Amino acid sequence: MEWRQRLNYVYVPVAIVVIWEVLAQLGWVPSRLLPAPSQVASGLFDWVTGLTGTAEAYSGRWTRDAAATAVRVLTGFGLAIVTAVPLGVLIGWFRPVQRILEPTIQLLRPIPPVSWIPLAIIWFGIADRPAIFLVFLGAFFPIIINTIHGVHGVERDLIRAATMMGATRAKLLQLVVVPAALPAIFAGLRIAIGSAWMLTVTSEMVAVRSGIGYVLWDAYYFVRYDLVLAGMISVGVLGFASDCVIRAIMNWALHWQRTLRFQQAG
Amino acid sequence: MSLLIFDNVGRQFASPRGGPPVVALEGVNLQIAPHEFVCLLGPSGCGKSTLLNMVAGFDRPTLGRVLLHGQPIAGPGPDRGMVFQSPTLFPWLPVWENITFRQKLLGIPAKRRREIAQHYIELVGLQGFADRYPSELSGGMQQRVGIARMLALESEVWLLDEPFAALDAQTRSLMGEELSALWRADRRTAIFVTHSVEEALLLGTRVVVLSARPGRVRAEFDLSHLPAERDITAASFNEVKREVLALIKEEVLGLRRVAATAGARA
Repeated sequence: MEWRQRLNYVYVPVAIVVIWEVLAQLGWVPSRLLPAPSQVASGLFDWVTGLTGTAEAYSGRWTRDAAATAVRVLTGFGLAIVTAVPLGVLIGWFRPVQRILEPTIQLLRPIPPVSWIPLAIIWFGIADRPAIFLVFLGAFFPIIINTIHGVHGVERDLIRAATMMGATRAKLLQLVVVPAALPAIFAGLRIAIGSAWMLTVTSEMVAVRSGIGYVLWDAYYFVRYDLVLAGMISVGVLGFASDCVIRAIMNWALHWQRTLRFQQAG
Repeated sequence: MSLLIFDNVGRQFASPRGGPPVVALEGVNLQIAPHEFVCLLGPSGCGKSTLLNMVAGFDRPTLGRVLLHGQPIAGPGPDRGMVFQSPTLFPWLPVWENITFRQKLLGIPAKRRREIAQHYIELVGLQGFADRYPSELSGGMQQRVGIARMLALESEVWLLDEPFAALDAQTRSLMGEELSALWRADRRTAIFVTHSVEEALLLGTRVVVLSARPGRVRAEFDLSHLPAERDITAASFNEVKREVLALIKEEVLGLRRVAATAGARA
């Protein structure tokens, strides 16, 4: 895409920040309700670099906080992938497994993962583990539901074609069902990574004493709303970055979905 | 000596809303000798694809038997290659891997499979498209891959389920000619399902006309007296065509009459 077109992406966010800054400078937006972008930027700058000391106790600690949060996200998300994908394939493919397991999954699914926080603290104490447990719960359901959906969506004739060529049930699963379900599985992963970040930050506010969510909540107690906003921005950027990574992996794994080359070759 | 025998074959389908079962096929008797090219011709819904699916092993008769070499057909297998109505290719595999999926299941290394694929790619005129994905091909080219995949099975029986129905008229007649040439090259036993009279007469050594639901063998036309390469302007060709068309017309009108009396009764 041409850079001029890409420029269209930034107009709205830049305009919002500029207007917000102007309103703050004019005193129309009191800083006790919403700090100016410049304040947030300076708080974030020191939180990251530790050069100015404006972030006080958090000065220069951003990398450590972000890493603590990211490790929880990745661990919980990874555990969810390795359990939900195989389980989803089994439930989607084998009717008896579906009859035994799916009702339970459908019953547990509507329970908001955050409502598990008390139990998570009782079971795992105050540290990484309750956060990882919550991330796992939040990521598990979108992945398994999408995997089941993807397996159910495999065209009957594709399976017929494979059995015609002599595929055994195991080969069918490995060479046809899983690749055919992959687009749906990736759709599940993209939903899941969003809830993974949400749940890490939530659990850090309540059950963990480190990470971006903890800083965000702690800064609220110390009336440092600039750092609250800096924390929000940090989570947003990290979440966006992790979605970009998943999208890149998806585009690589699903490169066969590109359809335009034929017309171009015409 | 018959290779394939339909012995009093019937097929009922459970009605979707309770009701009496739908009788798709009733008392079908048909014998197919090796090296025949049999076209099953009939109106839509007459069960001709169901007959083909029974030979493929995707479906079973509810009455009677379908015998291959005197043995009832137990399930799908690579001795009966099928070209489906829609191309039914694996969208995540490039052309050459689609064609040699059977060889992959047999554990033949990729290098050898590429060579095998190349042979069949040339047979169906897809040179230069070995590494394309199905989504990058036109409908006609996708169906050529489907044909190449069937050829690569080196199966005793070819099953073709209206393979050209979705193609435009020019592509359709061109591919019909090419299929006819491929068949003449080694005269495998072929069953070709179609609702086009012309297509049936161009390809078949025998045309079997099925009646409207419930499907039965209405008439058979032996075309072995016609030259292998058909001439649609020849008198002998048009004589048979007139006969078949008259029969089909009767069949369709009969169907209307039944519908009309049913309507009058209601």
